[in-house]
Amino acid sequence: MRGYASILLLILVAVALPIIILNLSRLLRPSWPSAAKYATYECGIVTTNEAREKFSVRYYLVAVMFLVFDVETVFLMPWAIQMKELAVFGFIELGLFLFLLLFGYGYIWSKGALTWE
Amino acid sequence: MFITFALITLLGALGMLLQKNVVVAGLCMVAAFFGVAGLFVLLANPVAAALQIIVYTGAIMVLVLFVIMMLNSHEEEAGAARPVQRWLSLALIAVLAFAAVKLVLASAGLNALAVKGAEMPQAMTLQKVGTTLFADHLLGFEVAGLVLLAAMIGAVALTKRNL
Amino acid sequence: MDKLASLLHTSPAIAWMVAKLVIVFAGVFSLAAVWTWVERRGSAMIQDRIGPNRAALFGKIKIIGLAQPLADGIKFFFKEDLVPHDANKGLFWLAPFLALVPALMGFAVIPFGRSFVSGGQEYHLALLDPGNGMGLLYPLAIGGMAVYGVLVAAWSSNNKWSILGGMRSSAAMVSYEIGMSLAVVALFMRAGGYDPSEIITAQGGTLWKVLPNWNIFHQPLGFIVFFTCMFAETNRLPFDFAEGESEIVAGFNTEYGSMKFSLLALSEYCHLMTASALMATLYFGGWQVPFVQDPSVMLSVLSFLVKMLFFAWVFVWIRWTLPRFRYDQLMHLGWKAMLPMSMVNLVFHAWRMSQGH
Repeated sequence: MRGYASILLLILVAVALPIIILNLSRLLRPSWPSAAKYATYECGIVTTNEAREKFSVRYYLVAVMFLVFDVETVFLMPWAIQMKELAVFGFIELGLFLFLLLFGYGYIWSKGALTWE
Repeated sequence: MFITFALITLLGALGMLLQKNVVVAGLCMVAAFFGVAGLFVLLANPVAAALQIIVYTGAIMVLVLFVIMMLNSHEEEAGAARPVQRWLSLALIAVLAFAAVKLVLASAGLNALAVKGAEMPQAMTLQKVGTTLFADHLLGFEVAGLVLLAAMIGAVALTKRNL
Repeated sequence: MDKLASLLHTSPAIAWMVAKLVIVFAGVFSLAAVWTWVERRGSAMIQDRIGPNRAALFGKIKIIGLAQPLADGIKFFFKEDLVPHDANKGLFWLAPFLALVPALMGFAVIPFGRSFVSGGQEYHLALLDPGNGMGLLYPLAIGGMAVYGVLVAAWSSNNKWSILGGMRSSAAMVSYEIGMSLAVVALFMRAGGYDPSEIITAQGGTLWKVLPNWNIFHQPLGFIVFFTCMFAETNRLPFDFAEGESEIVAGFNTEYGSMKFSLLALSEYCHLMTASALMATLYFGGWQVPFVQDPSVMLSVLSFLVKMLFFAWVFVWIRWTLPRFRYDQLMHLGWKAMLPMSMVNLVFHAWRMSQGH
C-alpha cells in the first residue's frame, strides 16, 4: 500500500545497521579464546546446574491477564473514536462492557491472583 | 511484495512445525505473524495489521513463550506419532486445504474483484471498524466482554491450586 | 527539495521520503548515543560526582567529555566477542536485532514538525504520512515487540541471572502495557481520531485563555499513568528489573559483551527517545507552540525537540533520584494502582463526553 514503502525501507535499514556494525567489529576485534572465557558467568564459581529452571505459575497468570485486558483495549479503541457520535448510548455500552470486565477483575483480585509475595 | 510476505508467512509456519527447539519455534511463529501483518497492509487494511501485531505477537506469543519458559522441559518428545495418527492428520489437512481453496474461489469478493477489475478499495480505518461494530455487531461486542470474563475466571481456576 | 529530486533523478515524493528516513533514523540513533553521555554527566551532576571529562578529540579538544560516546564506540569495536558455550548460538546473535530493530522503528509515525506546502505539494514531517490508517496503533504494536529482545537475550544466554532478569522484566513490561494502552484510548476519545496528527491538531489553541490546550491539562490522571508506564516499558529505573545490577549482576545482558552489548544498550536509549517523543506528542501538544496560532515550520520542529529532549532528560533525572522498586511492589503498582487509575480516567472522560462536554 502507498505510504508504507517508508516503513519497509526503515525495517531494511534498521536490520542492515546491526549487521554492518557486527561484521565491522568482527574484522577489528581480537580473538584469543580460552575455556574459562566461554564458561557461563556465575559470580566466579563453576556453574552448578541448568539455568533454565521451571518458573512460578504466576508469570503465566500475568500473561493471561495481560492477554485478556489487551483484547479488551483493542475492543475499546473503535469505541473511543466513535464516542463523540455515540454520546449517552456509547457510555451505556461502555458501562455494560466494563462491568463484565470489572467483575472479573474483582474476582481475580479477591482470589489473590494479583498478589505477589 | 505479496510473494515476499507470503514466503515469510509460509517459512515461519514451516519453521515452527519443524523446529525441535521450542523457543525457536515460537519465534518462527512471530515471523509468520509478521508476514500476515504485511499481507494485511497490502490488502489496504492497516488496522488489521496493527491489531494482529498487538494481539498476536504482542500478547499471545508472549503468553506462549512464558508457558515454554515456565515448563522448561528438557526431555525430548517421546518418538514419532503412530503411523495411523500421521495418516489421519495428513488426510484431514488435505480435506481442509481443498475446502479452503474451494471456499475462496466461490466467495463473492473474488467474483466482484474479477468483474470490476483494478479498483482499489479504500484503506480501512478504526472509524469504519467502529461504525460497523456498533451498528451491526453490538451483541457480539457485549458477548466478547463475556468471553473475556470467562477467560479470566478460567485462568484463575486453572492455576488456583498452585497459588 | 525539487532541486534535490531532479539532481537525483527521482520524484520529489521519493526524495522527501528518503530524506525523512535519514532524519528519523540518524536523529534517533545519534541522539541515543549522545544520551549515554548525557546520562553520565547528569548522574555526576545529580549525585555530586565527576563523570566523564577526560575523553578528548586528538588529545586536545575536551568539551566536557563529549567525545566519550565516540571513545566508547571505538572501544566496543575492539573488544573480544564471547558467546558462552552453554548459550544457544543462533538466538544469542538474534537478540540484539530483536532489541534494536523495534527500538529504531517506533519513531516512524510521530510527527516532528508541522506539515508544509511547497511547489504545490504537501510535505509531512513524519516518516509515515498522516491518514495511513495505522496511526497510534503502530507505536503500541512496535512497543509490544520490545519484550522479545529482552526475553530472547535472557533465554539464549542460559545464565541464571539473565533468565531471572528477563522473566521478571518481561512480566513487568507486559503488566504496564495495559495501563498505557488504556490511557491512550482515553486520548482517542478526546481527539475523535487515532492519528498522531489528529491528536496534535486537537491540542491547538488555549484553555481558559491562560493555559495551552494540551492533553495534560485535560487528562492529568491519564498522563500520570502513561508517564509511569513508560518507565516500565523502557526498562528504566525505578523499574529496571531487566538489569538490576545490584541484585542480579547485569540481568538479561550479563553474558553480552563487545558490540552486541552496545547494541542492546543503544536500543534502550532508542526506546527512551521514542517514549519521550510519545509523551510530548500525546500530552504536550507535539509540535504545537503555546500561544502561537500558526508556528513556522522551523519553530514547530524546535518546539517538538525541546519537549522531547526535556522528557528524555526527565528519564535521566528520575533514574538518578529514585531507588529501585521491589518486585512485588512493582506488580502491585501495575495491577492494583495503574490499571484501576486508567479505568477511572477512561470512565470519567466517557461520562463527561456523554454529557456533551
